[in-house]
Amino acid sequence: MAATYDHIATATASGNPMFLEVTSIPATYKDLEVIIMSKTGTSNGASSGKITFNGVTSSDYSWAMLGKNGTSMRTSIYNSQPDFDINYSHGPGPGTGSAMSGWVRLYVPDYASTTAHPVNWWCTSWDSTTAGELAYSAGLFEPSSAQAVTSMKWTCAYSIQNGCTMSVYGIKYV
Amino acid sequence: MLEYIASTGTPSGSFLEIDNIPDTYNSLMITGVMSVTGTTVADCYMFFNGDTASVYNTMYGGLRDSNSNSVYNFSNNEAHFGRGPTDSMNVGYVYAPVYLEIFAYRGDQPGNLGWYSLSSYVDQSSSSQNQFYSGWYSGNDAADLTRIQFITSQGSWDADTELHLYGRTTS
Repeated sequence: MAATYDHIATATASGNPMFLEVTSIPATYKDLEVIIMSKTGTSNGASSGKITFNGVTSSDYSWAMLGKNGTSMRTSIYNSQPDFDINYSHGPGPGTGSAMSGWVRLYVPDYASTTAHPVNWWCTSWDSTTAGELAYSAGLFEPSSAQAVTSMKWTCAYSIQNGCTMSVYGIKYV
Repeated sequence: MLEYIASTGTPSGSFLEIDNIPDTYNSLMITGVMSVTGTTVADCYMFFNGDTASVYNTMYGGLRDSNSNSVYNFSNNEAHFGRGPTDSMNVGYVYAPVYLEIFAYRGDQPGNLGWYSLSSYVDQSSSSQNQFYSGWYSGNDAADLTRIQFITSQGSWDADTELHLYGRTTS
């Protein structure tokens, strides 16, 4: 375990929102770990969720993914996007064959620096008992004006079921 | 915080277990190492709360043996999370590192419990592997997960196999 691993904040869905957000992240840690458990309460299948930092929605997000979808492995590269658009990370709703919570574990090293921010994440969710995705991605947040990560937002295509969470943890080693 | 909860004890046959998991965490993480006795690589899986019904849905993808596109979906009575190398591999005694996440494990959290794991080992032969696993439990989603049993399909857990359970708090 890290020398210090603190819970910073948790955003919990209430009123079936379209997004979760954590703001005012203190600059007192070295790394951030973010755990997102997210699904819709409507009758839609597994879908994507989008992560943005500091409210930046310009073309400052790039990533490369390796994963399995359905019955094959796949790889993709996305450059200069308006967010980290994470496929199959927002779990499906009831009546779709699966009501599994979607899951993302995002890691942001050296988040308080003002250089570009490399990140990585694992994610998974299932549409049904036989179709889903799991993936690992490496990303880069490189805004035109250098900035520390002080907030992050999780936005979904379908409403987020009440009680779903985005938790942010701070890690430091000394 | 990330709090240590418990570890598996001394292996006895094909079962290992962690019981009395508190319902006070947001999510769970398991790390450790595993290996099995004998000469046959094992499928390694879990039972949640002792449930042995066909309520587990697993998929994996990645490199298995010499197949770089090894993918599979299945639904049965086993929550698969990886493969266990043996103490008689090409290079001898091989361990697999274990990294396993369990989420929505409390009955009051939305959605069915799910898991995500990495499964890898290398033995300098064509039987090395590196795969992702994911799955979800379609049993009683209103019940807290309080007990995890870890089972090997082949041989027994080697004596040095140990798995450690941690919980992430929300306070």
